[in-house]
Amino acid sequence: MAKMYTEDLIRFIYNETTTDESNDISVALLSNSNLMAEFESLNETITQLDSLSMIPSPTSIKIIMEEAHRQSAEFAH
Amino acid sequence: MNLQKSSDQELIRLYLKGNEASLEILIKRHQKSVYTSIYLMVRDRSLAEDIFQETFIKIINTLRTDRYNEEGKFGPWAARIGRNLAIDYIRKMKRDVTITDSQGNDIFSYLRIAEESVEDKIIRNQTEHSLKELVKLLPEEQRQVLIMRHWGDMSFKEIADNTGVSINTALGRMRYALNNIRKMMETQNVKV
Repeated sequence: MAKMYTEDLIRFIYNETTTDESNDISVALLSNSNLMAEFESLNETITQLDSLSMIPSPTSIKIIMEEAHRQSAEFAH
Repeated sequence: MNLQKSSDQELIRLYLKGNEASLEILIKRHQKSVYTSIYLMVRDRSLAEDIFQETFIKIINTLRTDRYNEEGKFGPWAARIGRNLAIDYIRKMKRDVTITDSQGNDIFSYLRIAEESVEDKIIRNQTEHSLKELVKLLPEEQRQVLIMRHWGDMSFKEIADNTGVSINTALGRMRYALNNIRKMMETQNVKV
């Protein structure tokens, strides 16, 4: 890879780079402090998104399971 | 047998053989990614609950009629179904609401703009802002890519194919989304 762009770092963080690309980026990060700073900033933002996880109410799960049970009973007949 | 350690494929197989507990484990294993994707699209908890239920009922129907062929990719497939149902709902809402003003303009856009302005004001007056609110404030194209990549577990290639843009455009939108969130977090004292 000749030049690293933010998009390359995003693909790297999400494990979408090839082995060669990953190696090139890893080497570049070690030798380019600006690139490393950008990587760390992106990585921090993406990591914080992980905290934004919501779950449905138990009622929704119950409704789905009731429907699954109803279909099982129907299927059995 | 410890069902919690079973693969998605195994849980599906057991469910189709009559083990309903395995279905519940499968749902709870993927509930976060599917529900979060839906919620961030429709931005309403009650509606997200309805669409979440519809998503998994549709999944159950697909499994029961032997049309499931996404081996090893249950999570992204389920999130995609949820996302598509959310998009269908949003499109239906836009289509059905056709109230026009005296000049014949659709007032739905005015209503949406008014809602966002009020929301913006509320958020601006808050001293702490949730990350959830910031994601909701992103432009729709950026929010969609963010949701599909981060919670829908779709690759950028899949996102590009799904949204009809180039992979570079999808990546660009992701870059803008992350930069915008970072800036908003810095300026609005977001606590995670």
